[in-house]
Amino acid sequence: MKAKSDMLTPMNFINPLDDIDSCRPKLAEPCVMVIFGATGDLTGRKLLPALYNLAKDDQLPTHFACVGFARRDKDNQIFRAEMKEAVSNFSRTQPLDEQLWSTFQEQIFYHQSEFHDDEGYERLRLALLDIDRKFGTKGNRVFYLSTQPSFFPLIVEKLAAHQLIYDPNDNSKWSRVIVEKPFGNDLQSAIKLQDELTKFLDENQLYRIDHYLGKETVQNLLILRTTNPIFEAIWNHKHIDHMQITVSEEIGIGTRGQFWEEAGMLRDIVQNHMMQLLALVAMDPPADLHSATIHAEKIKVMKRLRPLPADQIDNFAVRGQYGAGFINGAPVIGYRNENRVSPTSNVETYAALELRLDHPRWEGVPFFLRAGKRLPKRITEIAIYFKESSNLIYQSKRSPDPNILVIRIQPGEGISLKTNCKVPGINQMIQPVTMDFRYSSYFGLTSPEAYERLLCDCMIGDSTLFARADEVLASWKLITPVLEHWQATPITFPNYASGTWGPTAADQMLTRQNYRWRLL
Amino acid sequence: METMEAQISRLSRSSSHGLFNLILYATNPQRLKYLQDFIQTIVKSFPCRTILIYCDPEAPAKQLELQETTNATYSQIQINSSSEQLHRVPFVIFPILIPDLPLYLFWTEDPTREEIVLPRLIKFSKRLFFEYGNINERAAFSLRLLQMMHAHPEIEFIDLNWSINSGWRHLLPQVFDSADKIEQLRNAKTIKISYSHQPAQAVYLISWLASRLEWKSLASKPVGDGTEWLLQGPNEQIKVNICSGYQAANTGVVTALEVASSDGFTCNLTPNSTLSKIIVHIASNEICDLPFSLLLRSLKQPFPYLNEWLFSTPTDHYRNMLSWISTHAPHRLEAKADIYHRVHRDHRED
Repeated sequence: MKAKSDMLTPMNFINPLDDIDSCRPKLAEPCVMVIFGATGDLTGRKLLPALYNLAKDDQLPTHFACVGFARRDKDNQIFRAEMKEAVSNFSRTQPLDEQLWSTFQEQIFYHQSEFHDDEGYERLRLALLDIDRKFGTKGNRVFYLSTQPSFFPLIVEKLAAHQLIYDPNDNSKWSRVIVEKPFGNDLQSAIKLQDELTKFLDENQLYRIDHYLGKETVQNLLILRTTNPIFEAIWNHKHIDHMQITVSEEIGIGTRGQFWEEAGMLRDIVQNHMMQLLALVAMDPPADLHSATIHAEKIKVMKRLRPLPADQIDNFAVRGQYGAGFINGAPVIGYRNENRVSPTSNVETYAALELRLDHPRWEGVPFFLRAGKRLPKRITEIAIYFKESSNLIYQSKRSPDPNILVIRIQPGEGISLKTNCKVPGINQMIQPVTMDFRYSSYFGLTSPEAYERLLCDCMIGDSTLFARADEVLASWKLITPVLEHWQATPITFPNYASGTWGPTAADQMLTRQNYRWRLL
Repeated sequence: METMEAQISRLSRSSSHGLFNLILYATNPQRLKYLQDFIQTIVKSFPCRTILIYCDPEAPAKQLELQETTNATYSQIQINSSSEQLHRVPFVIFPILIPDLPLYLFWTEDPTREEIVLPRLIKFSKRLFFEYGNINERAAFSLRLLQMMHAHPEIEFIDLNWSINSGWRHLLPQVFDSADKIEQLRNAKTIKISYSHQPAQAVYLISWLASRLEWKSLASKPVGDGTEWLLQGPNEQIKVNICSGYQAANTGVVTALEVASSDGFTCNLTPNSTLSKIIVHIASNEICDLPFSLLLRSLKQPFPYLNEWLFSTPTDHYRNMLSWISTHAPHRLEAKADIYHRVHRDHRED
């Protein structure tokens, strides 16, 4: 049992031994992380490997424990063995460090209960108190809801009912809840979910995870813009012609047919990941790097997105569904033939949007977004097209290629800049060349995974890389009319073959304005 | 055989990318081997050009030669020089640095007393790593180092003995994580620090604690193969015993820390039998916490804090510790004649 005075150390206690530097900006505080739905895919593939690698890099709090909460009948030993196998398979660092694991697994526990079972929550409360005593976790809690979103309100309500969620003004300990996307499936349901959760939680206790924000290259966007004046000077409509944001996947929907039938590309990728990328690339540079400041700039972008005209949505939003085709030369089936997909499904596996911002910085600049499954390759990137030169010093039958700054989010994370260069010789020929930076070439092969950064930030209490309510709702406000229009409007699917770059209508959306999708 | 001039010319024209130029300096075969191992660790993760200067005390007077190994991601150059030719080394180095990349220096000797090569290079460098372990003149060294840091505010001084303690400095605030525990530590009566092979990092660790907790130094004396150091806490004297203990993979690492106060509070951080982790056990007359264990990278890995060495910014804690050592350490040697600054000033005027 801890000494009473120990438990009452105020939250504003400044430890004279704390040595904060750029490699360890703030220590994550002691806490227990409870993962609801711990027997699901995400825990083994992402969450436990992330925690393990945080431990490996000394980024996990000294006093830490993890509890898996799920319905299946298991005990600590079985769960630890399963997690060991999962971490062995999915950790970015290989092979598994057996000595590290032998210590780390002692901090992992399993709690079997149904999500609705009050007795299960009471047992959880007592188990967590016991962990506090043994591990010094001080009553701090992170609840990770790795479950279907329909369970979020129930779980949060039960946590609150059993005093597992604290008053946000309690200085002696804290509780935070992480939820995965999707946050709602349209504007109305997102508002409803927000209302249900905030009955029991303060917004500052709610962390909406968007794992794209944890990616190194996405975090580098701000660094690129704010530490390189050469770019910020031209980051506006005077120099930028248009932007293309692409999330392309070669895989199909796999075993997620049931989920995809209710989601679709707009909900699964565009409403969250792509809108966050758009906000980061279009926002004004923040005055500082505080979470609130960055969120404020992002929401300014979201609120200035011009709503798509109700009678012209099809001119600005294109949907597609993959049919049979070939990926990497191998035949693949169409979406409607996938497992647990209706043979007459009209759910989109491809979406393309043209968006505009009512913002002086971006006057006249279109932002083209496209996301699709069963496209020729896996790539996520932001391509910034600069305006072509009007200076015709060199006499040439064709104009020089535009400069393009490409931020590759994945794979081959890095940045490239396409410029024009003279071909050696007595002629005056011009050839585009690419200046290329790749993370792997400079910083080694094992950058931290997104979840590592995000889990660590949540434990620290930094919400910069999480989506705030107003951002999410603003994004739904833009997307929902498109969803409703598509729901109400019939279409002939499939309309693109697997292995091609999407439906013709998406190409036409650009070509009628003399733009062209970047060939990736 | 290619002449050295031809080699330099070829290297200076060769295109190369990388994160930094790294110049290392050794004057004996043991340090040479150590730096060669360090280079192999660096180049596995970071594309760079490394230039290892070996001043061989046994070399013939005219020796000055250049050896290189180059592949797609790194370029390793070793310059073997006699003491008599050392003054020419900077002029071999300048043309073969990769332009536009930061210059890092790694000095295994006392950088504050380096008169020949370092003064010419330091004004171009961004970081200076050093690992000077002579604790017998720690006060004078700290003072000289502070002066050097003051003279070069643009350079980041990375003391590897300080960096390797990073694990302990990360761990201790999490063990002493409350106002009560900090007071217990501040009012300690005895502290025992064990180290592996040599005590420089142990001295740094206790000096750091002293600088943070406002202890003063009273006296020290050798005891066996260790040192007994008497410090003044807020209310009573603290007897610090610095002694050789478990032998870890790394020379000089702190391997154990034991704190006791006069009211029965004890905190023991001791390695387990396989040196794979530190066991923390806190107890007092009223409570006995269950032990918990922690990993310390420095116990097992030869170069555990590479990212910190290369990218982090030194904090005020280090400078404050140096100030404490220079003013509180019992052996207050007067700083030697400021050879470094005279030589440096002379080179500036070149």
